[in-house]
Amino acid sequence: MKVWGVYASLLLVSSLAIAQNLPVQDADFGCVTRAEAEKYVNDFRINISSFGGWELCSADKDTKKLLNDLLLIEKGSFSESESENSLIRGFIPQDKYYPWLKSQTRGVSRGNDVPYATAYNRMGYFTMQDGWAQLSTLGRVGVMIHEARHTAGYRHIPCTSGPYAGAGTAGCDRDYGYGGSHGVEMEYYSRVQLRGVNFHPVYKTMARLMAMGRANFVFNSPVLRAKEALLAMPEGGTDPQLFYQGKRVSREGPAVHGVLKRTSFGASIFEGFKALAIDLYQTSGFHPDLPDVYSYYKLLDRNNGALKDFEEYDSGGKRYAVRLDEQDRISTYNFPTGKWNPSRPLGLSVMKTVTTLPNGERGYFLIDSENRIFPFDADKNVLGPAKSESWPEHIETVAHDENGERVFLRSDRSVWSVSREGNWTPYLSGSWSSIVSVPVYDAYEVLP
Amino acid sequence: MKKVSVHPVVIALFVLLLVTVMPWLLPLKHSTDPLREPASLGPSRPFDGQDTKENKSGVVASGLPVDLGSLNLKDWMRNQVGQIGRPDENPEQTMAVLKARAESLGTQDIRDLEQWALETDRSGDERFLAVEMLVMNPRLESAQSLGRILMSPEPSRAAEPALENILRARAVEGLGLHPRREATRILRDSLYRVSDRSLIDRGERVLTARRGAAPSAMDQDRQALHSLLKKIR
Ligand SMILES: [Zn+2]
Repeated sequence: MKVWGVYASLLLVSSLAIAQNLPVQDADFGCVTRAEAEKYVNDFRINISSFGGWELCSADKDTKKLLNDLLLIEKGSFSESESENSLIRGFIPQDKYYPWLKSQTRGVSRGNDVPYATAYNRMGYFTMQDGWAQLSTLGRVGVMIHEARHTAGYRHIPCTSGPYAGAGTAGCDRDYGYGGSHGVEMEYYSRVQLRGVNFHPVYKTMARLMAMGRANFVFNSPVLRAKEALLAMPEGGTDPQLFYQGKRVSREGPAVHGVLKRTSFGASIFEGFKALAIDLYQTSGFHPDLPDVYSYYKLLDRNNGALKDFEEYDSGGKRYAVRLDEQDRISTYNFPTGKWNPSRPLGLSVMKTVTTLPNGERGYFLIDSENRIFPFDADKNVLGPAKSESWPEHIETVAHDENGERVFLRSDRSVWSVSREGNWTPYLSGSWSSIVSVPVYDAYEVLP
Repeated sequence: MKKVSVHPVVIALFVLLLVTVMPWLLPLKHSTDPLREPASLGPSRPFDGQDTKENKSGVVASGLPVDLGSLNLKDWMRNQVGQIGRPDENPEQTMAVLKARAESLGTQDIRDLEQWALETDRSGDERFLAVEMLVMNPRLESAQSLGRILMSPEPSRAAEPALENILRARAVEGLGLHPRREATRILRDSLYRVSDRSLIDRGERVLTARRGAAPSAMDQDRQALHSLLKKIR
């Protein structure tokens, strides 16, 4: 019986070995044929040994990653949109990605001589760095397309906005219309999402989000922007007026007098102890005193006593929440931990806070009794040096309307706009107690 | 001590099965020849490396069915991840396969997927697929997992920062699409722990759409990208 036991064990081992060999792993599905591989190696003059040698099956190997990407570029197809005609060509003809890439590539090798880069292109010779090998498939394909555009002489310039502003290195393109490396990359992602015929659904979803994400920081002139509208509270009234798509719509406000504030949710009325939400999209028929539990004003719940100010604002791709107490102590919110950082005395008497300066600059600014303007750096929790200009006494608040025009609430409660030449024109008739720019979430603005 | 006893007839049948099946399976084992050419295995062998519909549906070229649905989640994921970077001749069918598996996920599967989605040493394709599976699952646990993915801070030195962002953006959308009512509260609570402006913006877009006041975030994206492509003539 011992013999049978050993035999049974051997069989068990064998059957496990078979199970491991079952063709259930991507390597077994996704082999590139030798003919395909040789074509890619010849077309792109790939230095195979620098990628770790020949590998047609295992996706863990860099060679296979590159071959896979080229196969996807060659075989990926796009439909012609029905509503559009052949006049729409784009930067790269959508049925010519492979020949275009081939024409822009003199050689591809693998290295890690510029470790901070993902890849670089020197006179049509691409060197893929370690960072490239760690990317998702979409990321790697994007890099190939991006690098290929550099061969035609498209170069980056320093970023003037977004998270890489002031970074020193040239990493941005002027705008989408320049058709540089970022432009062609974004065009590819957009096409995959909208017109991709034979792409994996997950790849398509990744492409959509990648296109939307990159639009925010790789161009110095934004291409897609979150929409904004102007919200204004009539003097003595409680129903704020929304100015959007060229129309004025009355929204329901709570029966409370306070200051209009921009929030992540849209808007609320802040009155020192609490914030009450304003629904920008619909009216209920009655005027509910809805505590603002939708935006970061919910954080006020955790605070005892009145505040001089509470503000939610954006800077450099990040959201900040700050609170200023009656003793002029300021505190910032730590999002990952969900706690307030310790309060710090500002050392000045704050008369007023604003999120937009008369020149249009946005941030969080504290104004003292001498009308000096101090920018607050929420990352470092410190006040910057006073700005060279003072806050003009006749201006109460500055906001932006849906077209990005600056709109001013003056101390006499009238609302004006100012042209580039500096000419003031009445913007709204009547008397207003506060104005604010609010985010609108029903569509993006696509800039010309 | 209990003795192991296997009936000789069972063994004989097993051996017969092995003898019959082994030659089909052996060539699939990785050889040491670096320049492997799967096509040379001949058209009658299973899995010749061609990307066919049959591969995805789990029917091998030889006609031997492999029930991919019965694979454990880890192996099933490995299999699916390999498809993401390849041309897909039948995306609708792929979607149906993903959805069917996602809908059957259990509590432990959901926990595993959440963990895989956040493990930075996994491939970006695998991590994104893990999120996508959670997005398509209707259980409350998947909504909670998506909330935790959204809240987890992006690593400061990520291999692919854009991926870290789109993973979380997809988690936001997943909460917006989730059939459980609690998903709204989970999304809102998770957003309080997020300072990335683009994620907050997407979160608010999703919440506005969820109460019927705006088109879905996905439709808004497509509309915007459509206008973008039209800009260049
Ligand atoms: Zn570049």
